[in-house]
Amino acid sequence: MSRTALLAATMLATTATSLLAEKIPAQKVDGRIDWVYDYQRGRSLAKQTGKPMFVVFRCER
Amino acid sequence: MNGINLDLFQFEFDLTWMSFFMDAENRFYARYGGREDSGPESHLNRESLTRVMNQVLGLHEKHQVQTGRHEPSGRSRRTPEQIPPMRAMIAKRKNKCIHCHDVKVATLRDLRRGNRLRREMVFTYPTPANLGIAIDPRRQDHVEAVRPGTPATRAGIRRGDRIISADGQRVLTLADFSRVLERTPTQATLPLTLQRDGQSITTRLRLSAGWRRTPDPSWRESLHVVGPGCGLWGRRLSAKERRRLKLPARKLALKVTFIWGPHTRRAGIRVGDVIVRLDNVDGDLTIKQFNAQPMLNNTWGDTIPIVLRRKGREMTVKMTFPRQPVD
Repeated sequence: MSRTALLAATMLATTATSLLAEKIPAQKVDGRIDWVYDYQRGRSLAKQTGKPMFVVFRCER
Repeated sequence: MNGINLDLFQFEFDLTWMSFFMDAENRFYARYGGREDSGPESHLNRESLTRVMNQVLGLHEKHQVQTGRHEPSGRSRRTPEQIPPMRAMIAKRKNKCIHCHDVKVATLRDLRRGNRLRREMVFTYPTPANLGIAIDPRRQDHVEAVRPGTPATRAGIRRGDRIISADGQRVLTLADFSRVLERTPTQATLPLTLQRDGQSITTRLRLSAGWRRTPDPSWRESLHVVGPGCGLWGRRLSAKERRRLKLPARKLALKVTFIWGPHTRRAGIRVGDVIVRLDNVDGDLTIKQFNAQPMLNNTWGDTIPIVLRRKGREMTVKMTFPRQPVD
């Protein structure tokens, strides 16, 4: 695992799609990071685990 | 961007990639992303990302979120769907997906409808380069170089200085600095705290009209909202093609490959024409830079001359832009 991926694992890697946007499926990313594709779920997990979040916006479509 | 709270997530919407380090209470530690005219990935690299991640982990342990007055509140929920022109923009799309740049396009169109749009509004999220500061892409709180004759030189900023804060806001990255600049008025004095040789230094940058502009904003998707376009696409001729057509190496030479503007067809421009001058511009430009010219310098209803080569002959046509924007 790369150093960046390792560091990302100590945070919650979150793409900032919201509950309102659930009808539009998230374009998932391949790789070693376990991304959370829902911002509110990311927040809940951050609360539970005490981790900070790494929130990414990407417009690739 | 569908459903995203714009009162919380504010960034350069002309970008295609941006990131934030946050806690579970919607507060920010740092921002990472942003770009300069030089390229979309000018300040995106593994070294700087790893560095800021380590810094954020340290800040998280101490609960040191950003607290400055430039932080968004996120309290009044505002989504892209609420920007009035957005509904019509996404109605035509099969997947109804709102892209980052759509947020800015819709915002500018809304301002234009209300006669509140100024061309300068396209220059969002200025970077330290606008002040004359080249940020080290790998250590983004360090000054790599200072351009002579700029606000940075006049404020005494030097190569190697570490930027601690801008207007009281912690700076770890280019995007952190850019966030403060976005909220800095057109005419302002910007306090900057630096570290040099272990000493803390405070200086002030004096900013005057026009400081937000950059030389080449052609990468900005939203540019077409602020001025008329030529309604065509093309490509820059290769050196070999220029030699064959006896065109100079460092002058404008764009072969038209596609036309979509009715005003372009009315001007008599055809696919295959080679454009060698646009109004008073004949410097070597990419197609994006070419299309940006009238958007930045002309207004709807203007008529400009375009010089082109067709089958070995040079000719001048006149292009009249639509009288009103066509959304």
